[in-house]
Amino acid sequence: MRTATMRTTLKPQGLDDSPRHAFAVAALNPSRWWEPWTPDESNPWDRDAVAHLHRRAGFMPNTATLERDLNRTPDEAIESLLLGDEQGPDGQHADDLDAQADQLDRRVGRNLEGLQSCWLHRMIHTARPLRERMTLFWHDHFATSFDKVGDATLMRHHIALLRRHALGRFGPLLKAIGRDPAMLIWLDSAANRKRRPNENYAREVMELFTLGIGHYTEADIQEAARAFTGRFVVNGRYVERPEEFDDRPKRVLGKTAPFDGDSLADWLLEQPACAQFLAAKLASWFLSDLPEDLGGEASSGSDCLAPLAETLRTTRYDLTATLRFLLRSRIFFDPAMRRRKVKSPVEFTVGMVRSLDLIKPTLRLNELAQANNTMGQRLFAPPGVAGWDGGPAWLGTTATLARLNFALALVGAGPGDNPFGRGHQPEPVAINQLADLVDRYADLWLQAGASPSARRSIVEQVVTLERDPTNTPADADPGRARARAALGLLVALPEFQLA
Amino acid sequence: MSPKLARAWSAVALAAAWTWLLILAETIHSARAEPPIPEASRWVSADALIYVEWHRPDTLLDRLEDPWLQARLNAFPGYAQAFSNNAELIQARRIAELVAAQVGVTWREGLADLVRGGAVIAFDLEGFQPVLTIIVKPKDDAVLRRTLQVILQGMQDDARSKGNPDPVRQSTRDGVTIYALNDQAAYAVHQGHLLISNGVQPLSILLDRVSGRAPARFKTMADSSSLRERRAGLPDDAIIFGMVNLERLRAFNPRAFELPADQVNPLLSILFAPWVESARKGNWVAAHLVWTPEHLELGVNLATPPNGYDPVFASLVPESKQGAATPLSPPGAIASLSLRRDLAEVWKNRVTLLPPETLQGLSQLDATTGVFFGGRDFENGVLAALGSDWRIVAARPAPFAQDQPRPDVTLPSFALVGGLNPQDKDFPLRLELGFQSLVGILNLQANMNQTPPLLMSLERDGNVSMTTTRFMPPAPGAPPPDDAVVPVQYNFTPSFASLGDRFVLGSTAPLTRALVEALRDPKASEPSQPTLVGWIDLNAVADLLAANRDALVAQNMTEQGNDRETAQATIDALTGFVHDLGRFDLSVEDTPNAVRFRLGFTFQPQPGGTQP
Repeated sequence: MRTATMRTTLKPQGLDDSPRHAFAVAALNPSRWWEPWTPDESNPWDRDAVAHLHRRAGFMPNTATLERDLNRTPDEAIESLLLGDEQGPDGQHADDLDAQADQLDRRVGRNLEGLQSCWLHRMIHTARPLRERMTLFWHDHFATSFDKVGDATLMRHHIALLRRHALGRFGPLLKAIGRDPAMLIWLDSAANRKRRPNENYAREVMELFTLGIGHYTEADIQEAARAFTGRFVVNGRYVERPEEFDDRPKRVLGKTAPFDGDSLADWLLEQPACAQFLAAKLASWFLSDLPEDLGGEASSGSDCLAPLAETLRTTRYDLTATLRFLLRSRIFFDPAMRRRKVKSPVEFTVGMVRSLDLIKPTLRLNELAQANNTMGQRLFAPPGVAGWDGGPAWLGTTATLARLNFALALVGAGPGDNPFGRGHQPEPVAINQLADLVDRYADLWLQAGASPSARRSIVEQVVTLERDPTNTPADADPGRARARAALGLLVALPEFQLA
Repeated sequence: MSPKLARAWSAVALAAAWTWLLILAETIHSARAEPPIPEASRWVSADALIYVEWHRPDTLLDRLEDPWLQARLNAFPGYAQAFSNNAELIQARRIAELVAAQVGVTWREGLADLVRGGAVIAFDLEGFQPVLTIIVKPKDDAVLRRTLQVILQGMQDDARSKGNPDPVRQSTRDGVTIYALNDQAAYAVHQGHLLISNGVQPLSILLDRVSGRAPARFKTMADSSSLRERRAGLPDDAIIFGMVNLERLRAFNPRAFELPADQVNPLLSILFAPWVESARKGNWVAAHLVWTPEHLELGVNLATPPNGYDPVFASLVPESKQGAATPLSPPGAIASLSLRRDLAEVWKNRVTLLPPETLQGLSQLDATTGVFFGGRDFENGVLAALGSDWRIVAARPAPFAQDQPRPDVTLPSFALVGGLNPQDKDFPLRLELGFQSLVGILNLQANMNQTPPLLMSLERDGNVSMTTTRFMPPAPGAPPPDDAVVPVQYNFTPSFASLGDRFVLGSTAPLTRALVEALRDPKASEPSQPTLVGWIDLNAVADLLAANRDALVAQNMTEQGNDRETAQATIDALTGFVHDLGRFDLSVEDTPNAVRFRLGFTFQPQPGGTQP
């Protein structure tokens, strides 16, 4: 089966703003959004719910993970994601995997491509997928790019810092970022002197890291900049020079005090806008790409997200506790919220690799990194200080084609050679077993996202393709060619792009 | 002296002379003892496009099955799996075992006996029709016939069981049975040989030749003077010898021998232009393979153009015995290559030798060289000041100074040794100044990029002038992060030295100094016969791979997706294989009639006396 011959006439079931969907979301009273979810007949803890949890809080699951968590309670599955598993998908102990990944980072991460390959290797093998997802969240939040920093060691340290604090408290992370050489170089703050305070970092701390636009003034920025003086980067190391620190009082957001970087960070965290800002970001990351799903524009501090913001505040910005609150909520498991996000390229690629158990050995990681770059997500090199746009922006023409080609390559239904070195080898299937095969993979990847009519349509299209004399089979074995054709049609469904 | 004593001395002298003559005869005989021309060459046309003699097929099988080689290959992850998963190989082996069992031998014995007497393979074109001829001499005619009968029976039984027609058609020609298989191949057994061709018609022609009924115009390869000439000097332990008739091949497909300008690689053109010209215009090429437990050698003789080289290429071919200088072997050398190439002649003929894009790029050279070499003209002031000897040496990594960071990846040292025109006394100094200017430019860039600059030192010792550099280590008070990757550039201390009529440009000062010492010996630069000659110490390369094992394993994991154990096994297998290959030698010699290429491995002796 070749890409050019594929057609789908299926209407995507997610990510639209049809009245049906809006009604479905509105049907859940926002005052009940944040109640702990309890499975019931109308919304059971089934394959669709389990896969939804993993797609949002980990990566697309393989069959074993699906089966395992189906036999657990939702709370157990969520705790397993929050705390991590003991073993990774290849059976190695989680700590051994981390140590191996750290060594790989150091040996191979000498340039951008090496760094990207190593992080993808870690994501594929990790026993702690939520930690990696949160590392990626913070990488987008504290966007810092190798393109300007130019030093692989500093970028490696930067991501390691994000990983250490990924599921910890936001306060220590915010303070540590203020001392991160990569961040300071990125924001032109590698030499911040008291006579000429650099406002770049102060502006981004308020606008992008804590409060959001509209919750500070220019005067606040100018005063906050003085709190970060005395910070230098020398030969890749962070150095504090007390003689360059402006120790006079500063007035920031209505409070006057001899702020330094750390005490200013504490003051920012006390602002209600900070919790609202972070809550909106977490909601966008874990719930939906569409602001209207979340009760309005994310940055305006929607009432719907108030309980999430409150949780952040009351737990002193503890990400584990906050995510536990979010992931256990009714809104998170509401069927109307499933497939409301476009998978980012990394979620898409790593998810496919893990779901198909292409772990040991895995893909050529340099090629995988290149594929992600083509799809628009250059790890270690976000496009700007605001990170990646995400959402529907992931589905530009070039990117969508790259996603499709990647998915087809992995199931052996793509044109030309597979540049990734490995792919899935489906079992040959007889024509009368084709529907079972489609069900099996649809249940693995799409669950309720592939309707019975969609599944039937795929079977019909495979049969039609086989009868087409101009069609070139994707395999010398007719049974396997049939299987590959079916998988190719499945991954071409619009729903496959959604998490 | 008494007559008796005189007779005794005469007898001794006669015996000694006779012994000496015998020894001499034997030596001469051994020196000229090529493998005999196979009988089957009588049945191959002298004009065949491709002609191959396979002298010792069983020896090749022995080498391929050598426990050392199999152990080394099986050490590569995936090798054994590739064979065990290859459906066609599995089926072929099964069939071979089945047939062998019915004949009463093992498949290995059967195969060896089948080809014991050697084989001749020829390929030709009759009009546009390909004609393939394979003539195999087995050890035992009877075993051959029995084996063929079993195979034939198996094919017929298989077709019958599937309801297919009999794939075998039999016919006779002058009492010899011809078996045709699905109209794609045909074979017969005649005069103790297995004759195979790609059809009944060509096989019939072959049978006529074997039976002595070839037409009068048929000229046999065995009588061809060309064959004898091209086999002259063939080592007596050669396993395979082959020839290709390039003249006929070119007539058949002239476009295959054209070299479009946009496909010319400038560097390869500078290095290999005359030999490429030989490949394009020469009338034949012959090759042989020797594979013993001690060494593996491939020899290729490529005919020079029948009317000689065009002047452009002739200018690049050295006179006899004026070839490349002896490769240098300073202490710690891993590899050494020496080439005789007159760059002034290359430049003079650049329009012919180089592609248009390269010419465009080179057009700025005059201005650039003027900046670096005191206003000198590139052709007359720079190239004319350079000699024709070019040598490259690679050596083990130089030791690191105490205050220098040690890179994670250890790289070998490299050096370029070139000749200088002794008449031009000013040029060596210009060359040294050019090097120093380049260091200055690199330091400007380093300061802009905040990377370590180069610190320079000058040394003078008699007629030797040397400039060494080293990358500035980090300031003691501002060390980089503890686990910072130490850049690979700390492997290098680029250096330049000139002495008399030679210069050395080295990536490290120790290698530069070692080469300066080696060059003090006048014999170090004596010309040899080959135009290109070199060697690689693969043991040392293996040591280098071992020293960088962790980095290579990590690279394998990310580039190939292997897990750690597989990556380690792959790198270790590669290191072991390279180690056992021992030493690689290469030479290319220009003679009036042919270019002689020789590539060979001298294997590392194995513990216990076993050899690869």
